[in-house]
Amino acid sequence: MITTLTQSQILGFSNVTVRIKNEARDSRPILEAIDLQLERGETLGIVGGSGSGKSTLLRLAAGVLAPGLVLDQGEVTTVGKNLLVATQAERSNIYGSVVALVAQSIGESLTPHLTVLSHFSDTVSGDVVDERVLESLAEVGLGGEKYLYRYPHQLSGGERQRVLLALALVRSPQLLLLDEPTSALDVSIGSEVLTTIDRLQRSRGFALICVSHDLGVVSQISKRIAVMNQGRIVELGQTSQVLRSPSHEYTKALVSSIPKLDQRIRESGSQNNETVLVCRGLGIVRGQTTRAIDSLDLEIKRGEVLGIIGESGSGKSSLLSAICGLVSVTSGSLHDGDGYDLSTALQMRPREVLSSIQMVFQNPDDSLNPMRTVAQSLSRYTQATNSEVSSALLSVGLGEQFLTRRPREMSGGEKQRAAIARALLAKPRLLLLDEVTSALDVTVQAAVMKTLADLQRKLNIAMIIVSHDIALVASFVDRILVLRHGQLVEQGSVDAVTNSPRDSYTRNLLDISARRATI
Amino acid sequence: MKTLLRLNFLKNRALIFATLGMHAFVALLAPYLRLSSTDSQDSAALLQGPSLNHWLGTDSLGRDVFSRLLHGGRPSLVIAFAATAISCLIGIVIGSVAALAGGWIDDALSRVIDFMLALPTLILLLLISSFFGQDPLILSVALGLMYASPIARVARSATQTLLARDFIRVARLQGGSRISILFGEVMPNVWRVMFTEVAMQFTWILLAFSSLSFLGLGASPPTPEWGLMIAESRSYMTLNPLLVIAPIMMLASLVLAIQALVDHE
Repeated sequence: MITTLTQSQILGFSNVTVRIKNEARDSRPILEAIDLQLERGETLGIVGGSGSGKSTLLRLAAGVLAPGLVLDQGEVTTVGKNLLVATQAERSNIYGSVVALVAQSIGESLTPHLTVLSHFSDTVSGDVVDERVLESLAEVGLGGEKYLYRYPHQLSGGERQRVLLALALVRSPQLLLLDEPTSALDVSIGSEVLTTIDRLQRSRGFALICVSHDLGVVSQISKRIAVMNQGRIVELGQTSQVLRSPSHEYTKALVSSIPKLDQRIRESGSQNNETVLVCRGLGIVRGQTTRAIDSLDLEIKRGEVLGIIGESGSGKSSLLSAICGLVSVTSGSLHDGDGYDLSTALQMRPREVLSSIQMVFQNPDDSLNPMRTVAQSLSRYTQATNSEVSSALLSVGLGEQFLTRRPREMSGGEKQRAAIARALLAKPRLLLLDEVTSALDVTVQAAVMKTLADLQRKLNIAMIIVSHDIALVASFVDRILVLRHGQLVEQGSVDAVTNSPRDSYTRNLLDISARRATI
Repeated sequence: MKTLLRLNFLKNRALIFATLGMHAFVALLAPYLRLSSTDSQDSAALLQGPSLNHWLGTDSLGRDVFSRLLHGGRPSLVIAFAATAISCLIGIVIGSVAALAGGWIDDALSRVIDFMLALPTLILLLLISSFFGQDPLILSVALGLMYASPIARVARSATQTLLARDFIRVARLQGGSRISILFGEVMPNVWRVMFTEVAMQFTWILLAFSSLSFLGLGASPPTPEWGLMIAESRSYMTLNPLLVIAPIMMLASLVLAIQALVDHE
């Protein structure tokens, strides 16, 4: 049986429940009782944390169910058809011309050995190829023939995302499904891609579903928003309505967790004149010739929190790596507060110098040895006693039960907290945080940042926090540094940088951030 | 047809474990089962078909095939285990040291690995066994050396991947020495990645030793050994096909079961 859609509707979910195959009936389903209709030409954003079921829902709209999942009950109707039971022939007719999906991973969605043009030849046939392809590439902002013969590795992240978009739109689908369209891109480039999508949607009038963990992204291109949590749609309504007056608890938490430029997470603490790090004319060269950092001057006092902002390739991670000794300094000087020369190789540094600078990395899945328990990971090199480990875990909000857990039994936020506890056990004077929350859900991010703020006040240690999110940094740090192509383009107190930015790149980031906050 | 296709034996977990269990049981307990002697010859009953006394018949010397078959895996398994252990030890140490040291040490070790990979294994084994005789110890060491290079290569790249991971960086930042990082962080994880490779190596070594026996340079008569049994009986294949089919089935089922298990995990 197929639920009948009205003439104006393009997609219908009625009472859809999806479970993991062979799992007990009382376990929590992946999707639970989803009811959703989409009008032709309508734009819908789906937002939720990881594991909320948003990607499963999006794939189901394209008639795809991941292996290991079963449709327990309900029906999915896309343009009058149940795609789940459609034959291969019917599907290949529908894909591209009626429904098109742009998958999340831009790195893997293009075939490395095919040119941009070859990617199109499967979708468009005959002599019209070149014209149609040129036309749709121009529409997504990649005008000119030069892009036709490029290979994926010759394209930037933003260009790849645009090619994928052009591929999806070349056969003029009525429904476009986007999975995290900007999560792999820098903020400014992601914002440009979203503007393009918005423009195309307005001119072509296709219906659109955009899934993202980022409320800012979905609100920029969709009139309606569905908020998902644990497999359910907990709130559905007009974007402005949902953002301004959220009714469900989860939505409230989600909206309030988004970092805002004018809302401090951490109050500035007491600083004294004890310096913990000085660098003068610092230069770092990565590989053979790439200048990652070019003549940088920097000084950090005890208890001070410094934020570094920059897009990928700006050299912000290289700077952190050089400070902690993982990357060697090419020119200039780098000293700690006692005057110890930090340009010496890691192995040559005395133990107390090593412990005085600790770093927490971006990827929670990578920061703990998968074969060890948390207690083992935390005590192995810090030589901390059991009680020290427990109290360090407690200080980052993890109870005793985590001592014996292994990374696979923990969530991303918990792993990142354990990594912070491990860094603190070395009793550092300077803690380097490299995008520590960028892989986490917004609500989890807010909680981790809160923990970091408490720890910073209690221990009065200096921190350098690197992030692409200017609002997050502005709400946490005392001083902001903006890096671009390895050079310092802006530096100052939070107020000075956010109120009167001098550099155009900083202004652009602030604009994007402000736009998101006001939607 | 569809149901037939679904009966994919290599994906049937129960079947894989049953086969492996059967092999383990037979290999460990064959001497304690009340079987006929593997060596006693019955000149009155040569090349007989299956009977109540001789379940799979007798070979050209009148020996009980069933008993020899159950004992026939033991020599190859002992040597395969020993040789795999040796190749793992050498391979993993060389591979991870190369990756960890980098620079000219890595280059030198990698060329050694390349050189070893280029050697024709079976011919070299034939040479070794004709020079040094069919001593199981020498054969294990030789097989272990021969088969260490693929393990070293996989271990090297596994270690390289691991070294780029953040928890190794943190260990370095917290003052872990190279040795403690190697044994504490790298090795346990390399081993996890290596399991598949090692299990596959084990089957290759098993087959290599049986091939040597078949060529008369592995196990020496009158030891019951599958490769040797096939070699001894192939002239009488038409009289009692079981003489050849039975040891082949044993060898094939063991190798397939191990490989299927590896695919499964």
